[in-house]
Amino acid sequence: MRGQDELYREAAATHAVALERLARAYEADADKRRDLVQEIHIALWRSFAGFNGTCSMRTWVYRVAHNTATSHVVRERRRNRSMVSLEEIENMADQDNRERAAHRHETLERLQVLIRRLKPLDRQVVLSYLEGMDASSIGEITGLSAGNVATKIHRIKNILSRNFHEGGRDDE
Amino acid sequence: MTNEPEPADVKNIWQNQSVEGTTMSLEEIKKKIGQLQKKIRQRNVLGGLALLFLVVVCARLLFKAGNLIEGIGAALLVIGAGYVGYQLLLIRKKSAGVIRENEPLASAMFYRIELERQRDFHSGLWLWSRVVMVVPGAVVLLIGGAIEHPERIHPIRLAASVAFLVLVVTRQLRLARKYQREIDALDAVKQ
Repeated sequence: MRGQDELYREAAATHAVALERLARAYEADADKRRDLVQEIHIALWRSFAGFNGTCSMRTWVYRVAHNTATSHVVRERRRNRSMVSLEEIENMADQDNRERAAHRHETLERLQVLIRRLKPLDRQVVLSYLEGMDASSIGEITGLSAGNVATKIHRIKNILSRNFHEGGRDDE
Repeated sequence: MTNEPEPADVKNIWQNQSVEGTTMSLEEIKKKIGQLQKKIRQRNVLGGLALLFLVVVCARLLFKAGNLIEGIGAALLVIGAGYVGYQLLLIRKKSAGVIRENEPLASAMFYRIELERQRDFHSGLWLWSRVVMVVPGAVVLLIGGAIEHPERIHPIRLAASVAFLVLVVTRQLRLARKYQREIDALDAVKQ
């Protein structure tokens, strides 16, 4: 049986980069983001004291990370503008997202801004989708049914297509 | 034609963004936990001091009371202020906690618990007990003050005080409704 320290080392080695991407999607301010990343690592290390293998290491890591980041969002929400759901973003996309991203950097920035506008649960699904997880893994992390996750992924694809591709179609 | 990225590329751009991949050594983590605990202790001390200041301000009214009614009002206000401070400390401790029953909660469930916590603070027993603990003291203090200095009674001041109370309670209830709507939306998704 691996110990708490060993489990943490393994998780950090495997997921550190993804966790930092996750933190970027939750916090725009660089200083606060650094604190959030540290908070996630501390929560992870603490959590491994009770790791019992009932779910995969990846599910465990992402649940801890999303829950820590969600607490951060709830704490900060009074200072931030109101959040919206995927459905609302989908409806808004036509009106205010016609600008084009000519560079990868700009695309990434717009993507981060879009994700940070989302309510925590939708944010978690989008992030997991962008990290390349399938519906069943996303369901395991969030607790949503595979059907609900599939519906949300459909919306996400639609939003990404409209926000990052529609301008291109207009030009064709 | 533009060099707009294809939708499929968005995943690729996301996954290949440049990040440092910060990790923390175990020593750093343990040191940071120590610092965090120190910070929590400092925050609690500061919270306690702020509460003490509030109580002292109210207690000052108690000693300056011109008559018994004013004194009772000030005493009730001291208790009310203490209770509000206690609630603020309590709600912080009621956080869902990342781990429950030796497993991290599924993120939707965790978010729901956090929303419930916020909703409860702004409504129901939490809200009305704050009102019940603070308002009588203020009212009795005002009555005592009015008996002592009848010339200071002014309908506009009274109306402004009532309007302020109504505004505070209405705002709290509006916040609670907002959290409830989010909980309902979350439940609708999960059904």
